Amino acid sequence: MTPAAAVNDSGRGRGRTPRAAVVVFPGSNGDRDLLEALNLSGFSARLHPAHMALPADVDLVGLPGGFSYGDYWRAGMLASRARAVQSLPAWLAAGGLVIGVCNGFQILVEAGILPGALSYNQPPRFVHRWIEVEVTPAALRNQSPWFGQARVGDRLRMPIAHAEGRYVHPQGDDVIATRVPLVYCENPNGSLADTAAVLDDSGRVLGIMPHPERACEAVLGSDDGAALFQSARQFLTSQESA
Amino acid sequence: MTHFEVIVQPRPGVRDPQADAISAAMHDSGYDGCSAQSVGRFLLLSVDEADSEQAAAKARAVCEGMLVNPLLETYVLRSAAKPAASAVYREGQP
Repeated sequence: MTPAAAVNDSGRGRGRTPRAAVVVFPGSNGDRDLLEALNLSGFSARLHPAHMALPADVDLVGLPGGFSYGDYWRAGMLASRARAVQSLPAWLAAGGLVIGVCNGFQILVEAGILPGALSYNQPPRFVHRWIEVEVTPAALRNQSPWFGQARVGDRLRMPIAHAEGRYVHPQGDDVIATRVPLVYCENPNGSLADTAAVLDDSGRVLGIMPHPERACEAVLGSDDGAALFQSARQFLTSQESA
Repeated sequence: MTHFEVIVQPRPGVRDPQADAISAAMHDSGYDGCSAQSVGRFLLLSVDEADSEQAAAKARAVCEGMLVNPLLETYVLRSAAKPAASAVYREGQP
């Protein structure tokens, strides 16, 4: 039996192998990295075009890094109007997981699915290097499916590559303390409260500025990012057997 | 058809790295005493609506719903004459 044939196709949440869709926007460049990371972590992942509503048969949706629509007008704004993203709230109501990486994070805040905004780095330059982030109590407080394998204080090594990654929120540190699962050990971009990632109220939607999908194999420099995808898979498969 | 100019600028207090970079380049180029105070974006907007109040309401809705991120930006909306094909730059005009 081929791996594809082994996947139960009787619908969302029923297959033994959780399914994922990675949305491809014009200008995405991290889509194949995210696809690879999901497949390595036990998902059956496929690419999905941005102009089509999200498929009902997937358990997880990934919004990849890149420069969707050339970052025209404001990073993530045009992508937040694409049909796939417009269909995200209804898709989420049926109980799936979402990860937006880098430009995908920008798209989630532009769509209003995550709070706050992402502005120009301070100091104002494109930053690309390996950094460390630390898991905060907020990762576990929300019982987020993305952090089932994490412990508070764990340090994860991942690369960053962005110019507009400074997280801002009008209500300041206190409001976001419960929503920020990962903080930079050394703030590379001036983000409020060292914010490297943000969860929605349900803990199922994760926006993350570093690239966990580019840190899933030791040969690349780190496999710390795989913990997020493996936690998500574990959550989805345990839901099925419950 | 009713026409508008939309000017979007960083909110006061929001970091404006484009203005900083341009100011530094002006200084390096010898334009002493010049600085970029704010770098924004400009859009000529046409609304298919003859009634000016209804057109303005629609233009404001587009700005607030899409063109402007209120956490980072402010905007100015002005009515404009029918834009010519060469509206952005017309030979011989200031």
